[in-house]
Amino acid sequence: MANERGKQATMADATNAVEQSTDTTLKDPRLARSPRQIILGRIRESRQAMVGLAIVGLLILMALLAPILAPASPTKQNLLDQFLPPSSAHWFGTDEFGRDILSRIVFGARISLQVGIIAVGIAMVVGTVVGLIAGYYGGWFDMLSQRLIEIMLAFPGLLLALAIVAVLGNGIQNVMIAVGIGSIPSYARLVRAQVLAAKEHEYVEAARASGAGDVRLLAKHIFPNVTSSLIVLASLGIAGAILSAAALSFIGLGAQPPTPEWGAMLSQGRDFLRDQWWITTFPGIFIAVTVLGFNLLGDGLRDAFDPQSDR
Amino acid sequence: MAKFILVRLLGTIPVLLGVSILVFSMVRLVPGDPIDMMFSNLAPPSPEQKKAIRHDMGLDRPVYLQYASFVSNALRGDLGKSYRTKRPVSEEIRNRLPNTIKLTLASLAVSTLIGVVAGVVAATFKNTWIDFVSMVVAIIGVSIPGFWLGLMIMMLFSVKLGWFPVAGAETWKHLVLPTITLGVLASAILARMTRSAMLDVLNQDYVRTARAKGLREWRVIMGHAFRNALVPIITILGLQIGGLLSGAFIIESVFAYPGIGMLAVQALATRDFPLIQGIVLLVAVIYVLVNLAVDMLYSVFDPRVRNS
Repeated sequence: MANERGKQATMADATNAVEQSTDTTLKDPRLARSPRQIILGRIRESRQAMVGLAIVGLLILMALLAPILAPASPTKQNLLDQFLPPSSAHWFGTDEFGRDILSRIVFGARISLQVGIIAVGIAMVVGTVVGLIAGYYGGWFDMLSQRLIEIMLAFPGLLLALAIVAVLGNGIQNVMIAVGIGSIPSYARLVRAQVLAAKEHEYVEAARASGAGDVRLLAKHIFPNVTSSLIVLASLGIAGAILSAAALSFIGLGAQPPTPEWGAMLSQGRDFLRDQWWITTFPGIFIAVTVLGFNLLGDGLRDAFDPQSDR
Repeated sequence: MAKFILVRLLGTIPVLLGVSILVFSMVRLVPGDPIDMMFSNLAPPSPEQKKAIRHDMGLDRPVYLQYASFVSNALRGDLGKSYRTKRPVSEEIRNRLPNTIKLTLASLAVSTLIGVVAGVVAATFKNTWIDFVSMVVAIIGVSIPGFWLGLMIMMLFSVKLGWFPVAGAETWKHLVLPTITLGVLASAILARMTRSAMLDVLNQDYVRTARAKGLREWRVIMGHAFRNALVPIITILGLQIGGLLSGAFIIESVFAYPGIGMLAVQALATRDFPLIQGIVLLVAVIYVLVNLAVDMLYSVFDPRVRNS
């Protein structure tokens, strides 16, 4: 729910970001530094971006080193250890099958990151291609794709992803695809708007006059205008995708047992809320921290690309 | 004004048509025979019976005719029968819809109250600790999974303290926890957007003029800035209703609150497609209409919109 609403604003913000960053870099008295250096400097100065980056970095490490970090197997059942509260042997306790929750969470990071990256990858690739073509060529393709996007946006929040999973069938792969398809409109709209703006720039006109073809113009002169907004949207998008996928797994559409997916783990713990609070509490904290990391990174990057947005 | 409304009204027709085509195709795209799905928990019908059912349901007719009757039936409130209960989908929805509307409106009220106030306060005291704290809380709020917050709230207030019931919708008490969960989450987004809408306005020349002529700060904020920030805020509220409706799918199932969200989740679990289809269609149509209403409201608040 949160993400869908966020996207609308993010897109507008991200669009501003690029326009203004080019403006300010031109006016910046410190022209001795390249625009890239200036932006990198701003990213380094942004506390938000740095905290976000640290969280995301730690999570990636956790996912990569899962087999080394996890104290036990994420799926091995041991009914003698059922429902153990957090202790020095099991930091986050154990679940109804005696599985070590910490180990499941550590391995779960792999799934959440994968879901976020793949869903956003699908949305970004399709959305960018559609946005580039629609913005650059206009015409019937633009008309058609805009109408289709309007229709997709008529399904609020998770609803589109939910309907797609209903058709494709349950499972984490289908959830990634569904969340990815559901996020295409944001990327297509963002890219299209930026292409429309970039098309008018004189250097594009100049490149065209000197004989550059469409593909070269799009790739070398227009697309670079879009990248910084895309990076911002992707970071916030990963946050949204992880949240959506966890929600879909929570209602049973996503990862199936015994996969250690955070949303599904939380859902399993529902029946044991009264006495075994740890089964639901810890996976939720990890979802929140992961999403927070990507949100902070995205917010921080946006401010770095667009100093005006920090007012 | 009339022209603006007319254009906007006509603009929703292709969207609604598109929505109906997508929803109609949903069931057709599902791999497998719908008749087999209907009988998934019963004895399988003989080939002759299957053929008869197929004919009764119109599944042997060309797709465009099936679509036409889908639309004309839907317009008359006939959304088919649930595979599971065999009752009309419209009846199932009608029983549950009031609960979801209650929940959505109550959470909208909660989120508006918290979100708008927090956003205005943060913008007023921008770059102070008040701004910092409210925005840190807001970004955490945006990052928390709703179903988890719901479970934590339930654990504290129902299971441990026993102040509120765990599940159901019989009394007003049943509404409290789901409303707080949905409302608090939505208020985080609203606070962020209200703050940025207010900051946009506070940078305008007329705000500087208002200050220069010596108006008290709160009059500048409420009389000049907030009134002008209302237009973007109302737009966000409209979008918010869609977010709350789809958020209700998850939160209702956390609290076993019998609205259409929980109905949809149950329907998904049993692959009861007519029911899923009906609910998806209904929510999308409500959302399109809410946004239409918001646009109209917009033109009331901002004369520039209706004159453009």
